[in-house]
This record gives sequence, structure tokens and C-alpha cells, in this order.
Amino acid sequence: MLLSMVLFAFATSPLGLLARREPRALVGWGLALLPFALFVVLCTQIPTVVGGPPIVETLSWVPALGLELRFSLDGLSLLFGLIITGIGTLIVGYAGAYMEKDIGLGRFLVYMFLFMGAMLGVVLAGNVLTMFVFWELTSVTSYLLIGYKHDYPDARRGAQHSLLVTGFGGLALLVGLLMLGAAAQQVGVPADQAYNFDTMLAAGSQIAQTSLYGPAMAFVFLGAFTKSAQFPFHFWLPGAMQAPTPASAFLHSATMVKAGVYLLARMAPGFGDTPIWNYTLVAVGGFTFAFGAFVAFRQYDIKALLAYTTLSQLGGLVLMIGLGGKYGAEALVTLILAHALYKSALFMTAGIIDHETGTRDLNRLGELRRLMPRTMVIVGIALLSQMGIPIMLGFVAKEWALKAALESNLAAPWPMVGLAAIMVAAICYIIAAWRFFKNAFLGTAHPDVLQRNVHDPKLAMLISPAIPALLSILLPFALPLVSTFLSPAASAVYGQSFTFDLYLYGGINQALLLSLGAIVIGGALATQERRLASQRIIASISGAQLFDRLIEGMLAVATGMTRQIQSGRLRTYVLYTVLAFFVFVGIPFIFYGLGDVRTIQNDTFYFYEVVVIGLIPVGVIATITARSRLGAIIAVSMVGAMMALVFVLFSAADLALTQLLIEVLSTVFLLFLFSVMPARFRNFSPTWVRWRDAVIAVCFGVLMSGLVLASVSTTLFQPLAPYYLEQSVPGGKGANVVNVILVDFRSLDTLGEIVVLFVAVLAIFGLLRFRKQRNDVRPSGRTLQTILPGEAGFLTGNAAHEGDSSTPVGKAKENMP
Amino acid sequence: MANHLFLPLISPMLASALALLFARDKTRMVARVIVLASIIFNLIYSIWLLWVVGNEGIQVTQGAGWEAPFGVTLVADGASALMLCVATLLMLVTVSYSFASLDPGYENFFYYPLLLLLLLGVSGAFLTGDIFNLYVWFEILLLASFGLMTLGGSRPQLEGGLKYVVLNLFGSTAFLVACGLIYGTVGSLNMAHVAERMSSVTNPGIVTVIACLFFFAYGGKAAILPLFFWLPTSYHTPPVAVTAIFSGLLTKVGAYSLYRVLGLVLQDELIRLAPFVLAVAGLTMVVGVFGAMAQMNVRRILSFHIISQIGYSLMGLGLASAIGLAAGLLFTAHVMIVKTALFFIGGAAEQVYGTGDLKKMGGIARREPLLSIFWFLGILSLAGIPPMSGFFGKLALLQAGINQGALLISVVAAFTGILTFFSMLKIWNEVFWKKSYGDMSKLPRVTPGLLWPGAILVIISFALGIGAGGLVDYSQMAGAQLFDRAAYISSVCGSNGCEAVVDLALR
Repeated sequence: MLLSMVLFAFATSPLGLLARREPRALVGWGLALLPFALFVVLCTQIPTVVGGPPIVETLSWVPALGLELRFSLDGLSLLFGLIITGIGTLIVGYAGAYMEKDIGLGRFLVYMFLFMGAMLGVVLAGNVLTMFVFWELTSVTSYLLIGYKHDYPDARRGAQHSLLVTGFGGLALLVGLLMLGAAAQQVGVPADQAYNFDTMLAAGSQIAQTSLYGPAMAFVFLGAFTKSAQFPFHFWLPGAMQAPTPASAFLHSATMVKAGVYLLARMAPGFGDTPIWNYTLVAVGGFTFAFGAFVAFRQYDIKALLAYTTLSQLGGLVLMIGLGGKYGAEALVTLILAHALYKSALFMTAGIIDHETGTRDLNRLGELRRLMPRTMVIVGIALLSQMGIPIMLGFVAKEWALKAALESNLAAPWPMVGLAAIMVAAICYIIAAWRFFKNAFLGTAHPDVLQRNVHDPKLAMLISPAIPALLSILLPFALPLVSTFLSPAASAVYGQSFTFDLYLYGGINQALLLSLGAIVIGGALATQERRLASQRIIASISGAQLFDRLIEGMLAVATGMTRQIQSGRLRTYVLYTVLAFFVFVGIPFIFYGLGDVRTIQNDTFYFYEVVVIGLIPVGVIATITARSRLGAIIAVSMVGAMMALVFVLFSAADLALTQLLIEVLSTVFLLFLFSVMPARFRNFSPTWVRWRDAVIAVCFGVLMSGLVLASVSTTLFQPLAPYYLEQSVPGGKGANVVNVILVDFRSLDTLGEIVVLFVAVLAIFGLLRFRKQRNDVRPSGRTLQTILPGEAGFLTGNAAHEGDSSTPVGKAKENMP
Repeated sequence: MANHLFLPLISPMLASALALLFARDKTRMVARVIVLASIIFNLIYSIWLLWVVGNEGIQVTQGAGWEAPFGVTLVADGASALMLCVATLLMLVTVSYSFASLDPGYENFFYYPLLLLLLLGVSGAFLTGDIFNLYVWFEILLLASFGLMTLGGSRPQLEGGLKYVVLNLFGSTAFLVACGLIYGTVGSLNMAHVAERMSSVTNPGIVTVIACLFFFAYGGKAAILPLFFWLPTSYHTPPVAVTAIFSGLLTKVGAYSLYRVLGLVLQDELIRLAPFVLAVAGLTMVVGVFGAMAQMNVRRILSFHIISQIGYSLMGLGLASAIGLAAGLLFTAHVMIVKTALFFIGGAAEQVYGTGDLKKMGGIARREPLLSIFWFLGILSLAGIPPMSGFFGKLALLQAGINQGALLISVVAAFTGILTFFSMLKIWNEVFWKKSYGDMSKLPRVTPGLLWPGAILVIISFALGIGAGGLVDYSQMAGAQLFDRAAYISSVCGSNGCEAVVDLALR
């Protein structure tokens, strides 16, 4: 059932395209039936989950990597699942009305449905790798939604930031999860189960002892913090407000951003309660909680204001997990529910205000109480819940958060840190809420507002925020029911099954007093909201700009580096390549190969051998120092001729013949080519370059000689050559063993070499003829020069061919008795 | 004796000769049919080979009938079969893209025969069991690729081609020297035989240096750091179809050879050199992706990514274990497909616009929604986002790395992914999402012939992701075969090993 739910969400996503047609509002609500169906199915599972163990389903996917499609439904998954599908239903209907005039609604809804499937996958996954698969999909769909209006640079920028930050976090998370899996295998969990949540968490205390635990947690935290917009990765979330409001309300307040929190909550029973865990989460969560709230009330854009309270709230959730204990778990799940309800209502009403008045700027609104009374009521209720005013769900949640801090078992300063963060946030929320409400609904209207015919939207749009707002006020009257529903979720976070009871009034106690105190202080400060907002204290910290700088800096480094490396000059490339050869081969040779270099035992040289070999360096030096091309050609032929003589001296007549042929041919080619070039060489390089090149060339030669000496002098094994001699006549029917090797023993090589020649002919003929036909050849005088590369290819191909096949043959010959 | 291993070599060889006869305007269709028939035959054969190797194990045949260490052996194991199959698939798609995109002059001047010869070289390299024979196939594919790169003869092509061929010849020379040295030291060129003899050499010595030389030679072909200069300097010059098939095949043959020669034949040396290989792998990943970030041209960005991804293949090698090699093979097979797809799709956009300059392009998302969808899926796959095949390649590599305790390289590999994504998003933002500055209404539309080759490869990447279970199993089988010297030796030379054959023959 769980698997089919996720598949259903993905499979039905193309249906979103139906919303390309009119009437979009109606189609939107029709399509909202899809998530609603999932919502109903999940609701039917409440009794099973409340009473019993989690429902688990598995389907094999990539067993070799420990990745199976494993889904499990327990209290925590159920809570998230219901929020996703429930709010999803409202949002899809809302989107139909909100984007009634937008032709792209179809595409938008497809992304939304894909996202919903992915998000369901994240919260239902029972295998960390399965979860990761869906986790990445939420990042990608979020990217597409933020960049929905991609004609605008801001939308592209916001989308890119969100994807880079969450994608970076995703990769960190993957590394962290794989480390946890590796650690699980180290402590004896079988490989095929190492990535399942339940087995991993069961082995949690042992994993925490391994050396991998620390780095793994660091990477998991990176993943969770980026996804849930914790400081200092928070900046992508306000940028994500470029998305159309339905997407912001759904992804960036109610669901996706809570994925990080979900993951931490899910891991808490196994990996929680270690110093790394508690202190990191309390510090980061607490800071984000206070920081977000503090920045929130300074915003002018309603959506930005809501975005900052959202990231603050996410910090609060992380803080609860960090504080731990039963109260922490209880506060966490209550906060999640309360926040999802009021924040989605607020976002949707923000969208309504934007839709009706054409602006979200608090300075350009006012007096909407007269024009949009119904909207005002919804906003008012949701804001009361956000502020934590008594009898709202938010009030209950806040009180539990205070209790979690007061009752925490952590070492001395940490509970106080948490408490301080909660108080700061609670006070700032009140200021922010008041700022929103006062500037939008009270006071006198801005002229822009009066010019438009502003009124409450139609019911299709208004009903979506109304439902969660009403739930925020109604649920406190059914707290026992809410408690039974939340208990399994809290149990999943705590790690042991327990039940708890939420209440509105449990007698006078510290938490209540602190809560009321925060309200009083907040109320007092709220009257000064304009003056507070105008103070520039930390507003200059803009993470988005810093991030842009970081990217620009990296791009500058990349450009500089690439320009250095990829200079475009062949001679530089060759130089680098030779230097690389020294690193790759020279250094190992010094370390490992020198020991194998032995002097050649047979040291009786004949006079003519010395002469022939001595003439080779003479030829080489003559080639280098030659002033005219003709001289160079003659000198280089001398080298070739001496090589041929060496072959003769070692009685390899056919090799000598081949070598001579090649020499003659290449001399002819060179003469032909040089006939169109200046007769004398010109010197373009400065002296130090020539000396540098000379040194490199000599080193290279020494290295190659060393290699040959070392390998020739270490023949460890029986040679194969006798076999060829023996089999040449009976098996190969030929007396010339070299020929038999070429055409029989290794005939496949020879066939290949013939093909090489064939390819060379084709390539060069095609190149030259096609060029001629295409008419884009340069004026006739230059054609011969630009042909050079082709000719060079032909030459080298030819020479390489003959050289190659001679090598094994030559070796075979040397080994002959 | 599995003599059928000669079929994938004979088919392109014959077909290229035949197609050459019909390479003129009037008989163009005949040539096309011949080319297609040959490639389709090879594709069917290679799929069959995958199946046979999966069921029956390593397939071996001896060239000219000479028993194993004396003649030239052809061997197909899981790695060869997998690579052969992917390469042939890419060739088929490339040919169909060429039908739609190239002007007739190319056809008249041996474009298709050269493509077939490239396939021949690549297939030979995948199938050979002899180190020197591998060199021969490398020569064929080097020359064929040089011909394809310069065909058309524009000035940038010739300049790029010159750098390409000179730097590659340097690598080839190193390869040849390494062949000679290994023959001088070990006395054989047959891979199984060398592997067997090498397993009795325990101390580092000249053989370690020879292994380094092979690493240098194949590394140059595979475009690792710092031997990749030939790639970005030449890959954006030829027609799109050529760049696409190059990106899919050339560097990957180098990577495959590294796997074969270092992973199997000189395994002990690989284990010794593993930290060095991993360091090069990490640097290659990072430098490649930085290069990509700095570019403002579609094909140049993609070209630098090839380098970065070779780093991943190299990481699989550097892990020096069956699982590591398996993961590397999986990743390489995936990246061959996706990279080629991206070149096709980016090339189609380029062809419409007449330029690959990001600054001048824009607005394709609205104009060509299908092309955009496939491009987006393609970059998801390249960046390793599930459920595309790229995710599984990356997952396998990271998992192997982390389970073996190679944490540093795994972290580098993971975070290179986000930079890859970043530079691909640059193309997405500029070419697809950004509004076009100019009037696009007069530009031609992307024809189905330009669209579907890339699209089908993206769909394959998606399908491989969904059906990753089978693929991962196969790659692990291939990795295990690649790392199991004893089994390889006994398949090639019989259960007593090659040395026994030599002893018997020379008694």
C-alpha cells in the first residue's frame, strides 16, 4: 500500500497537465482529489499505527548496493504524510484559483505532484538510500518550482541557490549515510540490511562507538541543516520565495524544509544523546531560532517575513531534537503540527493579498480590514497561533517547547541556551505578527490599494487557508484526541513507546509564566515595531550575497587555472606532457627501477659497432645545430641509416631493409614539404628556453636508456622464441621465421596494421579532397602549408606501423639462440 | 573456442570496405544501408555476448589457431561485453544523428567508413587479450578518429587535429615502449600469460616502473590530469556527431585499458600504486570540473566534464578491488551513454542557433519543450540524481570508497558532483531558461532526427536507473571477473595455466 501510494503520486503527476485548460479553478479542485485520496488512505491507517508496530513493505531494487525500496509507516511518518497530503490537497485547489490566468498552471501542477510523490517517499522510506533517492527529487522539483517564472533573473538565481545549497547538502548527506552504513557493517550488521533505518538505529549505540560516527554525523548534519535552512545555510529559503505562492506555502513552509528535521528526528533514537549530537543541534537550532525571528520582523515583503519566521521555526524544531528527552519529542511533534497549520494558512493568505492588491509590500498596503474582512479573520487566527496566544494550538506547542528546555538533561549552559532562544523567538514572533497585521489590515490604505478594486477572493481560493487556520483554533478543544494521534510520533522520536497528554492549563508553573512573560514583553515591544525595524543591526549579513561572492571567487579561480593549463600552444602541451612523464615514470624509476639496472655483461665491442653507434649522436647533434633545412634532413637520414646498420650488425636483415625504406620515403616526403618552406631555420626561442629544452631532452633520453637497460637485463622467465623457431616450418610452412610471425603467429596484428594504412589513406584523401570541394581553402599559396597536419598524420601513421610490428619481432629475434 | 568473437571485427571491416565503394551521391542509400546493417548486427551480437558471458563465463578464441601464449588471443569477459555493447549502441545512435545532421560532402568523403573503422578499433581494443594487439587497435582508432576530426578541413579542425594527433602519438609511443619493456622483462605479451608470470614477482622493481608507464600511456588516452590537453583543444571543432561519439568512446577505451592492464594483468603493481592513482583521480575530477566552470560554450563545457568524469573512472581503478572496479565500470558505462546524449541535445540546440556561445543563446525551454525535458533529465543523470543511471554509478563508487576506508577521495568525488551540477545548470540557465535576446521566430525548429538520438539515450539512462538492479549485478560480476586473475588465466590457457602450456610446447 505504501509503495503504491508513492507510485500513485508519481504516476498521476502528468494529469496536472489537464490544468492547461479552462476553467482552471474547477480543474484545480478536481485535481486536488488526487492528494485527497492519499490523505484518506493515510487516515484509515491511523488506528493501526496508534496501536501497533510500524507497517513495513519492501520491494527489491538494487540489492547489491543495499538499496531496496523499503517503506515503513509509523507515527512520525504518518504525521508527516498527513501534513503532506492534507495541505497538498488544499494547495492544489488553491493553486487552481490563484493561477487561474496562468497558462503554465499545468506544468506547475505536474511539478507539484512530482514533489508530493518525492516528499511522501522521503517520509515513508524505511531505508536510508531509498530516502536519499526521494530526498534528491524534492530538491530538483523545488528547483523547478522556484524557477517557474524563469524569464526573470531573480527566479533563476533563487532556484540556483536553492539547488546548489540543498544539492551540496544532499551529497554530504549521501556521504554521511554511506559512512553510517559502513559503520553498521563494521559492527556486524549484515550488508544487505546495513542501510535499513530499523537495523541501523538498533545498532546505533555501537555505531556511535566507531571512528566513523563523528564524520558521518558531521555530513548528515550538513545535509539536514542545508535542507532545513539552518544558519548559515538559511539564505536560500528567502530566495526560494521567488516561487509562485502555492509552491512557497507547500514546499518552503509546510513540507520540504521539514525534511531535514524529519531526518534528524528519525535518527534521534539511534544516534541521539551523544555530545556531538546534542550540542551541535542546540547551538545551531537555537541560533537559527532566535536569528530568524529577529530578522523576520524587519522585513517589508510579507513573504520574506514569513520565510524568516519559517526558518526560525525550523531552528526551533532542530533545537527540540537537540534538547532531547520525552518533552523534547512531545514538543517537536506538537510544534510541527501547529506550524504546518498556521504557516500554510499565512502563506496562502499572503498570496491572496498579493493576488488582490498586486503587492506584498507592507508599506504599500493598509486598511484591508474594510476591503478584505474574511481574509483578515483567517490571518488573525493564524497569527494568534503563531504568536502563541492562549487557547491556540501554537500556545500549547510553545509551552511544551519551554518545558523541553526546562526539563532537559543536558549539561549546564545548554538548556539555558535553548530557553533563551525560545524566549527571543517568542517575543520576536509577536512583533513580526503585529507588524504584518497592523500594516496590512489596520491604518489607512495606501493610494495604490484604493486604485484597485480590492475585495475578498472567491471561495475556491479562500477555503484553503481557512481550513488550517480554523484547525489551529479548534484542535485545542480536542487535545486528548490530538495527543493520542501525536503520541506514536513522539514515541518514534524518543525511541520508546509512550503516551502523553497535551493540555491548555496545567496549573501555574515556570513554563506558563515564561510563556505569558514573553507575550507581555512582545506586546510591549510590538507597539514600537517601526522603530525596531528601522534599527540596522545585523541586516547587513546577506548570505545570498556572500554565496554569490563565493561562486564568483570560484569561477575566477577556475578561469585563471584553466587559462594557465589550457594555453592553446602545442609546444606548451608537449612540455607539460614530458614533465608529466618524468613524474609518472621518472620518479618511480628512481625509487624502484634503479636497482634493476645492470651493466651489460658482454663488454667486448667490435670496432665497427663503436663507429656505427658513435655516429648516431653525431647525427642527432648535427640535426639540431643545422642552419638549413637541407642540412637537417641529411643529418637526420644519417641517424636512420646508422639504425639500419645496427640491425644489419645484429643480423636482422629484413628489419634493416624496412628501416632503410622508411628512411628513403621520409626523406622524400621531407624534401617535398620543405620545398615550400624557407630554406633556413629561424630561431624564435630565447636562449634559456633552448637550454631548458636541452636539459629536458637529455633527461628524457637518460630515463629511456635506463628503462631499456633495466628491463633488458632482468629477464626472469623462459623465452617463447624457441617455440616460433620450432613451429615455423611445420606449423607455419615458412622458413623465414619473421615472416611467419607476421603473417601467421601474429597475423591479427598484421591485419590491424593493414587497416591502419587503409584508414590513413581514407582520412587523408577525404580531408584533402573535401577541403578542395568545399572552397573554404585559403588562397593557393597557403594551401600546402595548411595541409601539414594531414601529411604529418600520414607520415607518423606509416612510420609507427612499421616500427610497431618490428618490436616484438625484434625482441623475439634477440632472444633466439 | 568461441570463434564468434571475430564477428564484431569482421563486420565493420567488411562493411567499411563495401560502403567505400558506394560513397557517392547516387548510391548514398546503399552505403547507408550497409553501414546500418553492420552496426545493427554488431549491436545484436554484443547484446547476445552480454548474455553469453553472463551465463557461461569468459569467452576465448585464439587468432590463427595458435594456442594461447603464442598467438593473439581474443577474450570477452563481463567488462569487455559491457563496454562493447554500450559502444555499439552509441555508434548506432551516432550514425542516425549523422543521417539527420551532416551535409552530403561528408558522406562522399568516407565519413561512414571512418566511423565503422573507429568502431572496429574500439571493439578490437575491448576484445583483445594481447597487450601488443591492443596497441594495434589503438592505432586504428587513433587514425580513424583523427580522420573524423579533421574531415571538413576547416582551420580550427586542422589546428585541433594537429594537437590531438601529436599529443596522442606521444601517448602511443609510451604505450609502445611499455609493450617492448614488458616483453623484455616478462617475455610474453599475452595478457593472461603476463598476469600469471607477474603473480610470481612480489618485490617492486622495474615492473612497477613499467606499470607506471602503462598508466602514463593509457592515462593520456583517457585524458587524466595532466595529460588531457588534447581533449578540450580539439573536441569542439568537428561536427556535433563526431564530438558526441568521441566523448562516448575515445577516453573510455583508455579507461578500459587501464582497467584491463593495471586492474588485471599488473594487479599487484596497481595495489602498490593505488594511492597515487587515487590522488590523480581526485585532481582530475576537480581540475576537469573547474575547467568546465570557466567555459562559456556548450561543447567546451561538456568536453571538460569528460575529463572530470574520467577522474571517477580512475577512482574505481584506484580502489584496487573487485567492488571498486565494478563501480568504475558501472560509472563508465553510464557516463558513455549520458555524455553522448548531452552532446547530441546540446548540439541540436547549437545547430538551431548556429552558435554554441551561451551568451548568444536563450529561450529554448519555451520553444523546444521536449528538447528541454531531455536535456534536464540528462543533466540530472550526469549530476547523479536518482532515479537516473548516474546516481547508481556514483552511489556504487562512493559506497565502495567509503566501505574500503578511502574517505578523502569519496568526499572529493561527492562534492565534485555539485560543481558538475553547477556548470551544467549554467547551460540550463543560459540556453534554456533565459529569455532569448534576439528574435527566434526565424530560426529553424529542431527536427525529430536531431532530437531522438539524444532522447533515446536519455531514456536508456532512465531505464537503466529504474532497472539498476540487473545492471549493478552485471557490473559486479564483471568487476569480480576483472579482478580474478586465476579465473582469467585458466579461461585463456586452460586450468593448468599458461606456463604449463609453454613448458609442454618447449619440452
